[in-house]
Amino acid sequence: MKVFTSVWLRRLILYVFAVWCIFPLYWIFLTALKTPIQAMARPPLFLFEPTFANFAKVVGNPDIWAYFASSTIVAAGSSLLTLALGAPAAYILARYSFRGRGDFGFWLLSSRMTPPVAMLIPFFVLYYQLGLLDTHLGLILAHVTLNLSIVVWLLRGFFSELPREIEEAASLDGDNHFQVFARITLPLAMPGLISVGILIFLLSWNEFLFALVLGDSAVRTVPVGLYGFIGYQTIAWAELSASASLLIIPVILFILVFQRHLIRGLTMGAYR
Amino acid sequence: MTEITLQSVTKSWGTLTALKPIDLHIPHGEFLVLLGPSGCGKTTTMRIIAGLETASSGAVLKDGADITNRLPRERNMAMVFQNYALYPHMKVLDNVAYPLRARGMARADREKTALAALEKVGLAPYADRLPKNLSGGQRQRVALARALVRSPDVFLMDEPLSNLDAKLRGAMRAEIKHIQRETGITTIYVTHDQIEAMTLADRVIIMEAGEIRQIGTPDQIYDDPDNLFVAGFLGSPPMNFIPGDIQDGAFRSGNARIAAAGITDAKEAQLGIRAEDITVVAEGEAGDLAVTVYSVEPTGDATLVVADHGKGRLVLKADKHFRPKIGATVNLRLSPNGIRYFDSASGARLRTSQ
Repeated sequence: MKVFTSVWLRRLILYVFAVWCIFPLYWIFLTALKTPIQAMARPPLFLFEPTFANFAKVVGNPDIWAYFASSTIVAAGSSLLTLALGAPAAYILARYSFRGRGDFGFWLLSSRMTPPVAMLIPFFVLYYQLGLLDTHLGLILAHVTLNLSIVVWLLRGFFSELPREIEEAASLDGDNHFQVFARITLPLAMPGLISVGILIFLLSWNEFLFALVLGDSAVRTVPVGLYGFIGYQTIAWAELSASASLLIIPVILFILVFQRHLIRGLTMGAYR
Repeated sequence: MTEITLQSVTKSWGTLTALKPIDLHIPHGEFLVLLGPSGCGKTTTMRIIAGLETASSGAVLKDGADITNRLPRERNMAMVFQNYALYPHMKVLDNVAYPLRARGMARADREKTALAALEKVGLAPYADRLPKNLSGGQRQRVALARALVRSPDVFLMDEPLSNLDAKLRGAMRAEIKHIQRETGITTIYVTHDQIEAMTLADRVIIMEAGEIRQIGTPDQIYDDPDNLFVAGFLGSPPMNFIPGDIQDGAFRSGNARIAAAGITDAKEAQLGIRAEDITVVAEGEAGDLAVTVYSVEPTGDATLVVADHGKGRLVLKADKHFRPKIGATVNLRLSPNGIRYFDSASGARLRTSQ
């Protein structure tokens, strides 16, 4: 009886939480199916004749596709580059002891403690001088800077939980340090690499501030593009919602596909 | 031909000293076992030889050449780990072929060589499996094949059998010894299991607290222990100790008086004797020591009798039909050839001065 109630209590809490999470998505999708007039209605309409005009308009708008392309290039580029730089660094921090290892690790982490806004103006000035403003490369490098410390700290944990003997066996079997890393450690850390990669991809995909300031017309990511629907005098609710619905879909699909890796990666070594 | 020499090798981590200066020479083809309780430094010694750990001071020589600062890959030593350390993402065949890959052998050749090594350990039919689909014993045999495949100069084995069940352990022990004799490769084997040490070794090194306590053949360390630690560590049951003192060539403990001719006087000494060197005398006859029976443990081939001698207990091995009553008084004779004396304070063996 006691077990029964506790199970139902837990379910109730999870249901409430699920509604809490899903309702905004539901509302965006609902709004996307309304005419601009219906979208403004007070009290809000729940029952109406849905229209696909907003979607048609959005799909026909080449700007939306450009936002999508920019976001994909920046998120994919920055997550791959962050992993490529972060994984070796994390491995060295996890496996080798050297002078100042603790300080170096903390210094990396502290770069994450800085409020990003504080770095924005220096970035802008630097990028202006270097001609990196409004380029994909510029935004990719900015996101790498923002996220590198997270990658290093998460992967350091993954690496240090891999059994050391396997690497030692490889070094006795004739591998040099780099071969051990490339042939043994990386394949074994794959679940960790994938989940951290997804996390970084999403952080970059959703990043707004740097994308807004460092990008312009050539590089406009999805969050910045959507912001464009919020005008000085009016907000184009219906179009905004339709674009948002469409642009969320790839993210949701991405998570669904890699969900298992994500959970396995983030809980790896937590129980054993 | 490969011989290994350690010259005053030490290891410490900060203030923690793991190895006090170790000097050691291992001739070619020897099966050397490092034996000791956990934390005694035996694994550290092996890891320094392998190059997985760097010595804090001292030198490691291989065939006279200083390899102290060489990388593990430059030492041509193969190691078998306690938890196998197979590459979990590779098939059994690729695991075994891995050392050959690093040596630049062509794929076809290394697969052929690896298969031959797998055949040697009886696992050729499992070549295409992943390690996780093998039993513990099979995994350890794969690890053995991986060590064998490239004819190393030295075999290093770090408690390779301790994750296996007792029956498998016996079979693998025989297999390891056979392979070592067949190949004649210098082998260093770390274990805390004295049976493994006694059965496998040409020579055994007993370590405690980062120091070598005794080096010798299994017979030497069993029959002629240098100190209390070695005497108490080896044997099952271990050697019995009776506290007392030595004066004018006699050991005295309570009412018992036992000849200790030629041994210097000692205020506090221990008489050590193994269970098999104690016999029960017939009723009515005088013995060296009177004891009270505490417990009787038949083992099938003999009866172990635990008995109280007034200052502690001892274990003796009696005839398998011997069944004394608990609490009965029994007279014992201690075989003079089996008696060893030790100094209580230093633990050092007290030998006949000649």
